[in-house]
Amino acid sequence: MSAVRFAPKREQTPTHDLIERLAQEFSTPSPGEQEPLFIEQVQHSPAKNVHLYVIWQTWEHLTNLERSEIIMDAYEKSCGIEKALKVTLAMGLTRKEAKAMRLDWEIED
Amino acid sequence: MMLRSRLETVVETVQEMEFAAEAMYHEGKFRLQKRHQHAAIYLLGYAAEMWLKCAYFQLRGAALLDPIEPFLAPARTRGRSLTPAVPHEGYHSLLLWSRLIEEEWTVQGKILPAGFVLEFQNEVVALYGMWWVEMRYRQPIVATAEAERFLRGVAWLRTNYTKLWS
Repeated sequence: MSAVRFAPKREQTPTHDLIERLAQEFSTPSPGEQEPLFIEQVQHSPAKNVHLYVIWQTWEHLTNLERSEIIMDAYEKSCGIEKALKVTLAMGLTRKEAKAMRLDWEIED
Repeated sequence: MMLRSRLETVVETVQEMEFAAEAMYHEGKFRLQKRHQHAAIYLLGYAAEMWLKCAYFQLRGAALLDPIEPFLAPARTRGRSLTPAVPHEGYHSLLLWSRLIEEEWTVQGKILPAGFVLEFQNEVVALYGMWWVEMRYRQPIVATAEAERFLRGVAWLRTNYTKLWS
């Protein structure tokens, strides 16, 4: 009997690679609007909690939860646990999703 | 449109989860009345999980219409750091969510009556001892008394839900 081999339709970047790349971006942000692009929003609360948004086409095929976990792991790796504990929201978006959410940002020099 | 497609278009917000918790609670109670103990506990457990999650997210600043998902991974990071002995069990652990809530009370300097905190801890430990999400793969061997105890614990959470985060 012949067998049919099923193979993934698309090569996906392993999660640990994405964490490494994003951690590098948190440590040394690329100039301009190069992706991954991150927005770090400090809340007006006594605790000064942080909302993190990362815009990156690469994770188009990942679930929201997978993206969020990658963001947190990368942030902790790059910025340390004390800063990571301040993050209350971590959202990964593609540019199209960010636009649909009306997310606005300015590039820091 | 198929049910799954209809449901997947609904964003999981705090408010949506509160509605779902209430629905699961009543469905679980009904199952218990019909002596379907295993199904009763399973559904009631989900109600408990959702109330604990919503309480924690709102303690951390989530608004009613905020999507839930972006709050999960930060909670995982806090759990790993602050209560490393408690695994998150796919984000379903009742014990983890309760510990995170207590941790947040401390961080925010919330002063709650000692009796209330003790009741909260006792109820969650009791629930945790009877429910985890993977019990769906086990055959039903739940005693009526266990299911009734479970209902009392979840009813406590339902009654005191607002006190957990406001």
